[in-house]
Amino acid sequence: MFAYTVRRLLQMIPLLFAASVVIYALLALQPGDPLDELRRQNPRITAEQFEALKRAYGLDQPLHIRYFKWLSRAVQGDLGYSRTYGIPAAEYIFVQRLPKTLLLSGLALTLALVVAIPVGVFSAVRQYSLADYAITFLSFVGFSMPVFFLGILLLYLFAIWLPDHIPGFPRFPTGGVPGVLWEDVRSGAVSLWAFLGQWAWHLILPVLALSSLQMAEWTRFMRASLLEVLSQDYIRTARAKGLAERVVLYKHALRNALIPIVTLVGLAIPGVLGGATITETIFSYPGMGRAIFDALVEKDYNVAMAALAFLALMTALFNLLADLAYAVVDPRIRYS
Amino acid sequence: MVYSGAFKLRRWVPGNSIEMERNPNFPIKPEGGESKYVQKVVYRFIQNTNSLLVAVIGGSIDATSSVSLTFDQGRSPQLVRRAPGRFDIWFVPGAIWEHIDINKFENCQAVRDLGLNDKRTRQALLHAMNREGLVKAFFDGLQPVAHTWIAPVNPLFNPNVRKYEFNLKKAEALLAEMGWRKGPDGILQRTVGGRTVRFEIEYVTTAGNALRERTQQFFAEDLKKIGIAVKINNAPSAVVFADDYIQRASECKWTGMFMFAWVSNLQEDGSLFQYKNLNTGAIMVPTKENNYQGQNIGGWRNDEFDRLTSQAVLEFDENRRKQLFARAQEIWAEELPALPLYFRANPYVVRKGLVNYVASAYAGGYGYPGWNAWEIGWESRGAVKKWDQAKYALSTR
Repeated sequence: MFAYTVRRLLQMIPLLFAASVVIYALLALQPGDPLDELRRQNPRITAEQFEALKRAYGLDQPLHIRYFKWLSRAVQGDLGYSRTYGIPAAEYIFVQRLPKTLLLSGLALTLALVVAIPVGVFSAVRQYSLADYAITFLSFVGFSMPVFFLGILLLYLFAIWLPDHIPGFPRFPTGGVPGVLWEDVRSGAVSLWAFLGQWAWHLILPVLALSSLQMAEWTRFMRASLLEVLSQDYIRTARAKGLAERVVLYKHALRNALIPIVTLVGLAIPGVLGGATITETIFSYPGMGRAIFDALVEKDYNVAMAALAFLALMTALFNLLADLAYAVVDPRIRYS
Repeated sequence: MVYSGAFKLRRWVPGNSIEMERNPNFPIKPEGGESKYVQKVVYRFIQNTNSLLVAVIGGSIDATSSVSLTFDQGRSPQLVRRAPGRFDIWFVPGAIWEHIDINKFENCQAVRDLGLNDKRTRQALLHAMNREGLVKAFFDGLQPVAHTWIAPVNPLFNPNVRKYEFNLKKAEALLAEMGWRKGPDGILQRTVGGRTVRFEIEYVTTAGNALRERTQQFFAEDLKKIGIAVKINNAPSAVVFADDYIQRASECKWTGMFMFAWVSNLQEDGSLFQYKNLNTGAIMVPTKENNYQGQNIGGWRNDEFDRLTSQAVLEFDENRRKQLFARAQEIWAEELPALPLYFRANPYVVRKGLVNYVASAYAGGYGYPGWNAWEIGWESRGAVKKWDQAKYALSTR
């Protein structure tokens, strides 16, 4: 197992190198460059001034030179400066944006999982009952509802319509994050509970919107997977030897039925780190998805490179972790 | 940090908000003492305009900044229905002038064939375009028709220039004067130097700008009624605004109509339509000789216009300056070097009771729509209303 893990980790090096080349090339090959904005704001810029700017930004050099310059700095931990925000790209991505994304997407993922597994099990055990049909219907609704619509709908309902029509109904915030900082808690200006409370208050709607799709999807997967396992011979054997239904279900069936879910969750985690661009946009939430999107539009190459290369690393890592987790949940799988 | 403004930064929550508080050292004091006015301003960053609309309706926003709701959202029923008693929706006529420039370079054959260098052709085109219908259909009349290149909010604006109402009869008469007759296919034709030419005019605008593309369709229909065929030739703004396109009418890169907008300035100097700036001697028509500099891209030349505008910018007496520009606008409206369409209006929303938060056409950089941040305040706390937006803007009511 150890040797396998080391081998996989070593294989990741050429993989990540190739991925970073592709990302860098795609960024550089998209139409326009970081100087477009400058040129548009000042249409009277002369060709000489423009060339001088190009030289200053190093954009006059060929693509491969630029890439290796970036790479040699990146491996030393210098990801460059964000052109838009004037702070190091690493600080912008890893300090300002990543923690907020982890919070939002992590909560949404957890909520989806915590709801999907029991509901899926319930639905499978009571197959073709009224409750099963209701859950199936709801999960298809959740599955087909686009998040940009659900998001605006939730905002409109909980921030406007319900408070307007039901007296005393709390008015939910219309997006954004609380205006209190961690420094305020440390300095004692705001109590820890008030801080957490405000965050929770702001997170309810976006977490609901973001988790709905995965919740619905995983409920369906959980149901299908458990139904398949429940029809297996060894389940009949377990029942035949007189085991309690609880033991049959949770000890024998559920463990096997969870294997495909582990794959799905493992693959969903890089998505968590990448943020949820649409949800973040609708709820004005400063997360990774929005950061990457803005960086691409504003041609803030350093930020885009830092974020995308990080995502490539995480995708590779969590693929490995998912593979290793198989061995844990399924004793038949052994790596050597 | 050093502050010279009415407010100073108190806190920045990255990606979410900026909080400003009153700067006690700011020298201008509002009427009745600054304690009666707004002490703290929180800017929230909202990137999606639908989310912004929800935030405005939901009451978590007191006023929007200069770039906020879209024009259509500003008059959406969800917002307008909730406005009475809660907030005002203003449409501030802006300084952004939508117009159609026309190639007038005689060396281009298409220009000579269609007679675009003759003012009667340009007048006929404008008479044939239903601009009143356009602003009614698309903007509920909240973006009024323009008659000159100077914005109505500019003190130099002259309202008494020649106006070209939608009148197909007049358009047809002018074209007949130029020798145009309906051809067998319903398109006008005439004989130029022994050749028969059809009235088919190139119409360029920025591809991807839905509003301009709809406007283009609207006017193409109008022009068809009097027998003018339109050849649409749109390209993305990066292409049409590139120096080797917009600046090269003299080389016939575009040969007919070019629809876009200029952002005008409070310090109007007439340079958009000067052939020569008599003060500096600079030629304002882009050609090879001056390395394609200047914004008079259609190549209009009127020496009287140059003299008036060049003299006006040196004139210290305001009334005299107004007179000179008034005359320049009369000439302009008579000669029509370009076809004026409308001035864009910016919608913004402000809660009832918040006074002196007024937008102006020439302010609005950096998100704040006005210039008088130190005067904003709540009437209920004793702030004195000094500026009435109703005098400077239209509302949906």
